[in-house]
Amino acid sequence: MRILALFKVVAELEALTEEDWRVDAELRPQERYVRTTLNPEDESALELALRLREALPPGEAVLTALTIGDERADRTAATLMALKFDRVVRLAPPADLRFRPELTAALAAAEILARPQDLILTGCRSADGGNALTPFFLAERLGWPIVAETLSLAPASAPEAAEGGEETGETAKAAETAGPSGGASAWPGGGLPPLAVESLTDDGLLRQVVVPPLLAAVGNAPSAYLRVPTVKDRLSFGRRPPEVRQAAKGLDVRPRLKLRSLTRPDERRRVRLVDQGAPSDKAAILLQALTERRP
Amino acid sequence: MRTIAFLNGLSAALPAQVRALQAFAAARPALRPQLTVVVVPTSGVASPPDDAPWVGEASQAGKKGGLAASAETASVGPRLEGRPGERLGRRPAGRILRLRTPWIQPESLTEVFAFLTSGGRAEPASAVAEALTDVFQALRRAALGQAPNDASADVIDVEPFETALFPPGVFGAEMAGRLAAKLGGAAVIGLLDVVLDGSPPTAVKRVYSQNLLAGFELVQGPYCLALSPDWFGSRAGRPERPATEPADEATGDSADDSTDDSTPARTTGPGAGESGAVTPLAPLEADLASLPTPPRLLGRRETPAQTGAVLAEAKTLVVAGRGLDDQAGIELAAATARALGADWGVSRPAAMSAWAPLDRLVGVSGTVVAPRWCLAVGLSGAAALHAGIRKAGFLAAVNSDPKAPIVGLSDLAVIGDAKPILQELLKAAAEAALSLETRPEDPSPETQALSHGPAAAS
Repeated sequence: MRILALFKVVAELEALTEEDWRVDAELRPQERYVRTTLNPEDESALELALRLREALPPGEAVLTALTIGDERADRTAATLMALKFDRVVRLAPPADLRFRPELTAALAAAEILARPQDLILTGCRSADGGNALTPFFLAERLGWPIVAETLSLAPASAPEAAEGGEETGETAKAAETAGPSGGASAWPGGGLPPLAVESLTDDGLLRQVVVPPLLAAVGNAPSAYLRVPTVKDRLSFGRRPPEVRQAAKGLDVRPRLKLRSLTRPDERRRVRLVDQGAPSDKAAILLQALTERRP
Repeated sequence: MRTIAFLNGLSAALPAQVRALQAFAAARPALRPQLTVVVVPTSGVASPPDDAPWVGEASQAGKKGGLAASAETASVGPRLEGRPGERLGRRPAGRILRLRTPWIQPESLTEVFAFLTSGGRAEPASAVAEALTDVFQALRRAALGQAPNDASADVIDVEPFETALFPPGVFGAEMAGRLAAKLGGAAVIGLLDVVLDGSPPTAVKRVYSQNLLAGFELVQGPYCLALSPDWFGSRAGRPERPATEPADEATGDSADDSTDDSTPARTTGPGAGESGAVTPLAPLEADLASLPTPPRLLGRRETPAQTGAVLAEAKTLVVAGRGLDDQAGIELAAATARALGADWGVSRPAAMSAWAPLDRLVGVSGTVVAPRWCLAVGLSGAAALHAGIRKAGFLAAVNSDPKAPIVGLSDLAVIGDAKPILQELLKAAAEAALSLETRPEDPSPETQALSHGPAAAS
């Protein structure tokens, strides 16, 4: 299974001071001078890709990590190489992509069409642009199904595929196709193994059994922080540079919206500060304040 | 502006979705939907948003001969290539179309929604087009039913909608994004407002993890707009309660009260004063049960988990963060909340560390709440978290760092190590037998926590 994890490196926004939030003429806060971090939901996508590789039979998964960004992503790229991603690719962006999800999706799609994949994992939204649109635009561009707000995914066992088919009337077909022993290795016919994908909806958890190709847009996946490579692996694999290329040119993708203003709202309140006294004294002040405001 | 709205009637959150759209449309008459499409279960009783404020206007338009006279009132009617009756009669604004389907199929629904939004111009996949025949017939019957004796004279070209409105949440975001991708329009997820004083319109939303407010010129239509969760529990016309305004206390309004002056009553639409009471038009019905199952989907099972609903109506709330160190710290905060008669939630880092279930997540990626008071413990005050509690009437914080952002964002900030202060607060609340909100179904284990430590109070 060819798995691609699409990630982005962003400024650590909590490190920006009030001064840093003042935007310049290009409508950018002063984010270039603070440390960077993996976009949180992309981090979960990368970790889920690694877990899926472990869950599949040895050698079955080929992992590629792709980012569209500047050299600030190279440090993360080295970490991913140390985690034994088969390829790490960085595409130099042709434009400011913060609020261009349609262009980001087009660039990623061009890369994917040139080097086909079976499964794409990426975060639902980025910490800076926050468009929450790139996965949908990418899926529609590729004509692929997408599972939004993915929490986890793993190879589906045959019983699970059979049991889960009751709502779609595909129970018998799934059981028959998956074979009696279950698991990815039992999937016959040389096709891709079905995946059990768990996602969040407005009402609860949705578990689906899906045959790739699939785009899984990862949301708030608990306990899916990217693992840390060993020192040995970092030394052995982490020194290889990522493939760096210019993103595809000549894509006729017009902006659908244009950023016109960017302001920092002032949401401070007139705070009463309590910094003296024992914990019991402070608790008493809190209790009184909350009691006075009981519904 | 011709507007179509889409709602997920298969969700228990439908009433909240309707209220959010009502609040949004209340102060933006130009964006009141002419057609509201509700996806409802194939069987069972759906709760239709018949009381949507724009319905009142529709029925008044209907009383004037069933024809729409204003520019706001669009004709609605998709067409299918090669089908008869492709030109539909004018229909009044505010119609509701119920699409019956056994479950949400995003791929197919995107095609259906694109078909409706484009006025029948979008080309659906052949399998979906079959199902759309039913939709088409329902709309056509309704159109002819409005003017049964004058159908031929009243036929006009079908026009696409300029704006598609979606409620806050997973459904709205996905559908808005996919619809925009399919129709080539602009999409905005997390919409706070639309400014219509210029051309083209400007959409307002928060970006940079809620730290900045952005204004986007909408360049390419149709505009596919999914509301921000700020519109949940909002009073009409305003997504956000000013931080300095303890609205509940000052006005007596509840968070979802609709008695605000800016709320159009059901009789305030154009011409409403002429007859007083309003009779909504009967909803249209169409069946999507024949929508094909995506061939690669072998199975699906949805487990209701009251996601978001756990905290959405919280009147008082304790929110705990990573500053409480571990799961035991979160359990201490939960026990304290119960002793105070309050609900409890956590920040994203705490939820991602699996210290609490996801339905306790507060913030822009979880639940946005508007409680009477909120106590934030062990939180730095990151904007993404603050987005979930900024509507609190009174915000108190406990933090060891006087320079933490949460301090300036609070009405009361207690500086110190959170755990000892929480222990004392739990003890004081239990001793006073204080209960700010009775929750008999949730017996308080605070006494147990006092005896055995926070880990006992799960």
